[in-house]
Amino acid sequence: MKYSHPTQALPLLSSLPFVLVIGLVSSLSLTGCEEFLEGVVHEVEFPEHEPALAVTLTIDEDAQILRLMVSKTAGVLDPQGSEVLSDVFANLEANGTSWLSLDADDFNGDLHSLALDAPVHLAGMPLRLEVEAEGLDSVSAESTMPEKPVALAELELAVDSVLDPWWEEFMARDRITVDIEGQNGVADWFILELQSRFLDPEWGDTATWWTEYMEGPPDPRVNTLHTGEILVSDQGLGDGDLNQLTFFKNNIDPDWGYPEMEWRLSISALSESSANYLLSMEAYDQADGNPFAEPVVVYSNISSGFGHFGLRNSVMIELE
Amino acid sequence: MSHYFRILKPLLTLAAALCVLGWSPNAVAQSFTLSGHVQDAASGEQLLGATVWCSDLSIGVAANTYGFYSLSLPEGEHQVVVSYIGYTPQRFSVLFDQDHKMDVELVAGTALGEAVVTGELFGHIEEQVQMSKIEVPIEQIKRLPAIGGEVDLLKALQLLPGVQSGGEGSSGLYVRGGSPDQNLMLLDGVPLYSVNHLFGFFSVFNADAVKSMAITKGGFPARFGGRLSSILEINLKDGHMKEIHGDATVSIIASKLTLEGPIVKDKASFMISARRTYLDILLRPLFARINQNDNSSGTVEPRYYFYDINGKVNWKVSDRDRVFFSTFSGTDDFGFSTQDTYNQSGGQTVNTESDFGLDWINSVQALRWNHEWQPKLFSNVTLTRSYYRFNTGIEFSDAITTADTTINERFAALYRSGIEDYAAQIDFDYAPNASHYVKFGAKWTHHRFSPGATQLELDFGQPNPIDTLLGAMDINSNDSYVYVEDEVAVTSRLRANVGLHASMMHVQDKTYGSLQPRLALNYRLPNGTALKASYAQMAQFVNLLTNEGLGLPTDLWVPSTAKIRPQKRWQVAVGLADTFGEFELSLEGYYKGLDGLLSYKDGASFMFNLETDWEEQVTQGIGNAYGLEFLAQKKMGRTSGWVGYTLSWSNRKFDAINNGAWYPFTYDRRHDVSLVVNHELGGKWSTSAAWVYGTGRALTLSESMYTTFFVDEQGNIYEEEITLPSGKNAFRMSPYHRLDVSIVQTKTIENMKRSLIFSVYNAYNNLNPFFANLEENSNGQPVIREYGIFPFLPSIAWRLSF
Repeated sequence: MKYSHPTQALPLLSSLPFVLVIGLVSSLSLTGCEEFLEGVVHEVEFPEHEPALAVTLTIDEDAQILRLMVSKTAGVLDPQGSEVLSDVFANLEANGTSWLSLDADDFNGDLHSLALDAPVHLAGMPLRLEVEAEGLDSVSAESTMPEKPVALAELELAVDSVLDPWWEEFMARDRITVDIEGQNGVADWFILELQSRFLDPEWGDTATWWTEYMEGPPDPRVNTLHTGEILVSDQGLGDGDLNQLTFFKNNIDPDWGYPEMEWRLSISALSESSANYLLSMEAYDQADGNPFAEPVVVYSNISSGFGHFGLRNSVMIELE
Repeated sequence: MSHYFRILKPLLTLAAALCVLGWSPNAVAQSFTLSGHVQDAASGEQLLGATVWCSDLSIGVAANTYGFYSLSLPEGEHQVVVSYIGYTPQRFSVLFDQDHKMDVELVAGTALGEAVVTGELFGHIEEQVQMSKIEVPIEQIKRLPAIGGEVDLLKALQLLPGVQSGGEGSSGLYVRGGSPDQNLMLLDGVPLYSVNHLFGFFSVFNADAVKSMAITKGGFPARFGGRLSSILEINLKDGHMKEIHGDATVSIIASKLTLEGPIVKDKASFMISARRTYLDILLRPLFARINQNDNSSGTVEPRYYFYDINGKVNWKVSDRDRVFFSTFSGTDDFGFSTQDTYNQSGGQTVNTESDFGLDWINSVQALRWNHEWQPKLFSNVTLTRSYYRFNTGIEFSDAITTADTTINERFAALYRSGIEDYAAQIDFDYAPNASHYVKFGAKWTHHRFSPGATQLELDFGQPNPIDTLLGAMDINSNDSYVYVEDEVAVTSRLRANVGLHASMMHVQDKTYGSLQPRLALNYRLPNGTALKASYAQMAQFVNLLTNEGLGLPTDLWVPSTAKIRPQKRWQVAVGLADTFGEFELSLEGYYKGLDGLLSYKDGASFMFNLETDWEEQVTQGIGNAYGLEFLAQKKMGRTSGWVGYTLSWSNRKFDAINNGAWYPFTYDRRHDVSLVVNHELGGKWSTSAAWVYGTGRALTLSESMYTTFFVDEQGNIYEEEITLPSGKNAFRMSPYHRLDVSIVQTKTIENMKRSLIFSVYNAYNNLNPFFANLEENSNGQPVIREYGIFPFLPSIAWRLSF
C-alpha cells in the first residue's frame, strides 16, 4: 500500500507509536536524568588571577603613629590567600614635595608603621601615596586632607527612658546633641565616635576608653555603622552646617545610681573617598554570610590596585 | 490644587482641540455611524480587535476590548467587511443615510473557497498605527510544547523578540531591558502583582480560561500608564452564551477543568476554570516510606501545591448595557515540617517539632459596566480590587519531659509583605467621524503597601513571652490619571495616534505629578510598507524590590515615597512593517532612557535586616536600553508560527552600586533568537516546535582577595581579608539554547474532542545554566561552574473538550 503523504500512515501506526515513543522517551529520559543528577552544565574557564598591590593607609593629622598595610592580591580560590608584603617602598608626598617614606625596615611583622615625632599640619594639603614592590606594578593614590572640624557637643543624662523588651526593665536614655560647622559649596563628611571610661575602679577598668553605641531618630544626614561609629554628611542635602544632630544612648536603670564616668566625643572630618570606603566596608561586613545579599564592590581609590588611601582630621570633645 | 491644575491644563487643552476636530460642522454634516458588537457566532464571545473595514474608502476600525465598534462614514452606500483571525469574514453593503446598529456574528474557521482579498482586510500590521504590539492567538499558544504538559502563556511570550525570560524555567518577563515590575500585567483590566506559581516556573494564567493575549512593548497609547516597559493584556473568556461547554486537562503536573455556558441563553453567561497541582499528593507515599525506613533523625513531611481559580459572569442587560464580573484567586503553599522524639541524659524525653512555610496569595476582582450612549460614544466603568500577600515563617518548638515536669519552649518568626489596591476607572470611546477615533478616561487607585514586617515570638519559659512586630509599617498612597488620545487620519498615507497621559500620586504628604506625551505615526510608503515611529513618556509609582537573579516571591512591592522618587522613562522607536502573503514582517529599533530605577544597595537584602527601614537599603539610579527587533509571523494556515531576533543592550548606573560606574543589567542580552512552528500534519495529528537561543546572563562573581586591617578604640590591630568582584555583572553565563517539541493527536467523537499531547522540553538535552559558582576543577584551575535543573523532560497530557 502506498501513501501520497507520509502523514497518512500515522493512524495505521497507532499500535506502534506508543511503543516507539515510550522507548525513545525512556532512553532519552535516562540520559537526561544522568546529567541531571550530575547537575553541572559547563565549566567556563576563569581568567587567571593577575596579582596586584592592595594598600591600606589612613592618615589622621594628629596621629602619633602611621600604619600602612601592603598586600599582594590572590585569586579568590587560592588556598594561601593574599600575602602581606614587607619588602615594599612607600613614598608620601605632601603638597608636591616628599614628606616621608616607609620600607622593609618599618615592617613590624604585621604591617609597616612609623612613629610621627611631632604633629604635622596637613589640613587642606593634597597628599599623594606611591607604593612599589618587586614584581608588581606600582600603585598610587591622591587625596586632600580635610580641615579640622569645628563642633560643639552636649551630653544630657537621663532625658528619656526606654523599656528593654527582653529584661522588661526600664533603661535611662542619655541624649547627645552635636553641631558641626560645614563648608559651603562642598559635601562634608564626618565620623563620630562616642567613648567612655569608668572613673571609679569599682565599676571597671579606668584606663580603657570604650566605644559607646549611639542611635538617633531617622535623619538623612546620619549613617550608623555596625562598629558603633556614626557617619554624618550633608551630601545631597544642600550646603551648610550640620546642626542639631541628635543621638541617644542607653544607660543603666537610674534607680541603681550612675557610676562615675568620663565621656568624650571624637569627631573626624573625612575625605570623600574615606567616606565611600567606610560605607562600602559597612555594606561588605553586613552582607558577609548572607546568601541573599547583593554582591559588594568594595570602594578603592588606589589606581591600578586595590585598597584605600584615606585622610581624616579629628578633634576630641570632652563631654561634661 | 494649583498643582493639579498645572498637570491637567495641557490635557484639557488637547481634549478641547480634539472635540473641536470631532465636532467640526463639516464632519458632523456628512457622516453617519455604523456601530455594534462583533462576536463569535457559536458562543456569543466578543471578538476584541475584530476589524470593520470599508473597502471602497480604505477606512476601518478595530473592535475595542469589549467587542464594540463604531465606524463613521460619509453619506452613501459602502462595502463593509468584518473580519477576525481564524474566522470567515463577512461582507455587507450598507447605506449610510442614517446611523445603524449592527451586531456581527463571525463563524470560526475559514470557509473553503472563501478567498479574502488581502486589501479588504484591515488590521494587518502595516495598517495599525500602534507599533511594538504583538498578539499571539491563544489556540496557537495551546499547541506549543510545555514543561509537564502545562501550557504557560508567559513562557510563550518569552519566545517573542524583545521579551526575555529571567532564567531557566522562569516565567519572569524582561521587556526591552526593563525589569519585571515595569510590566503592567492586566487580567481583565486589573493589575496583577505576582504572576508566578512554583517559584516562577509557571505563571498564574490558565490558558483554558483565556480568550486573548497581547503585549505592547513601546509606543504606548495614552490610555495606558503606570509602568515603564510593557503592557500585557490578558482577557478571560466571557462564557458561552448558547450552551454548556467545557475543557478538562490532565497532565503530569496538574489537572484543570473549565466550564462555561449560559445562565440565561443569549442574555447571561458564566465561565469558571480551576487548576491544581498534585506533586504533594504524589510524593506523600514516597516520604511516608522514607520516614518509615529511616526514622533515626525523626520524620520529614514536605508539601507543595498551587491552585488557581478564574471565574467570570457576563450579563447583557440591554442592547446598550453589559455588566461583567471577573475574579481570579491563586495560592502557592510550600514548606516542610519535621518531628523527632529522643531521650537524653537525666531521664528527659525531648519532643521537637519544626515547620518552615512559604506561601503567596493572589486575588483580583473586577466589576465593569459597558454602556453605549450613542452610536459614536461608548463607555466602560470598572471597579477593581487586586491583592497580593507573601508569607514565610519558621517555627521551632520542643517539649522536655521529666518524671514530674514538662517544659515547653517555642520560637516563631513570621515574615509577611504584600500590596492591596482598590481602583475605579472610567473609559470612553468616541468616534466623531471617519478621520478621528478618540479615547479618554480617568482612573483612581488606592494602594496599601505592606513592605515587609516580621512577627517574632519567643517563649523560653521566661515570665513574659515575647511577641513583637519588627519592620516596616504599612504605607498608603493614592494615584490617579486622566488621559485623552486620538487616532487621526492626517492624510491618506499618514495616520497618527496623539495623546497625553497625566498622572499623579499622593503619598506621605508628598504629591508627584507627571505629564506624559504620547505619539505614534504610521506613514504608508508607495509600495504599501508602513514606516512607523513612536515616542512615549511613562512614569511608575510602584516598585518591586528584588535581589537580582533570585526571582523569589520574597520580592517586596514598595511605593514611591517622600524619599523615593517615581521611576520615569522615555522611549523612541522607529520601524517598518508589511505583510507578504500570510507573513507579517516587522523590523523595529528602539532607545529608552530610564530614571529613578530602584535597587538594593550593594550588600543589602530583604533578609537579616529586621530593624532596618527598607528605604535605607535602596538606592536610585538611571539606565538605558536600546536594540533592534525583527519578527516574521504567520498566524494562519496549516503551518503557522514566527521567527524572532533581538539585538539589544541594557545598562544601569547607581551611585551606591559598583562605585557609581555603569554596568550591564543582569538581563542585558546581546542576541536573542526564537523560532516557533505549528504544523497540522493532517488527519488527527499536529505538531509544534520551539527553539530559542540567548546570550548568557550577566553575572557578578568574587574574583580576588586582599588583606586590610582595622584598629579598635584600644589600638588593637585586626586583619581582615576582603574578597571582591572585578565589577558588577562582569561575567557571563554560557549561552542559553533549547528545543521543545510536541505532537498532538486529536480525535472527535460526537461532540467530544479528545487530545493526547506528547511534549518534550529540551529535546536535545542541553542542560542550560540555572546558577553558577566560581569553583576549582579537578586540575585545581578556577572555573565558573554552571548548574542546570531541567534536562530532557518528556511529558504527556490528556485533554477533553466538549
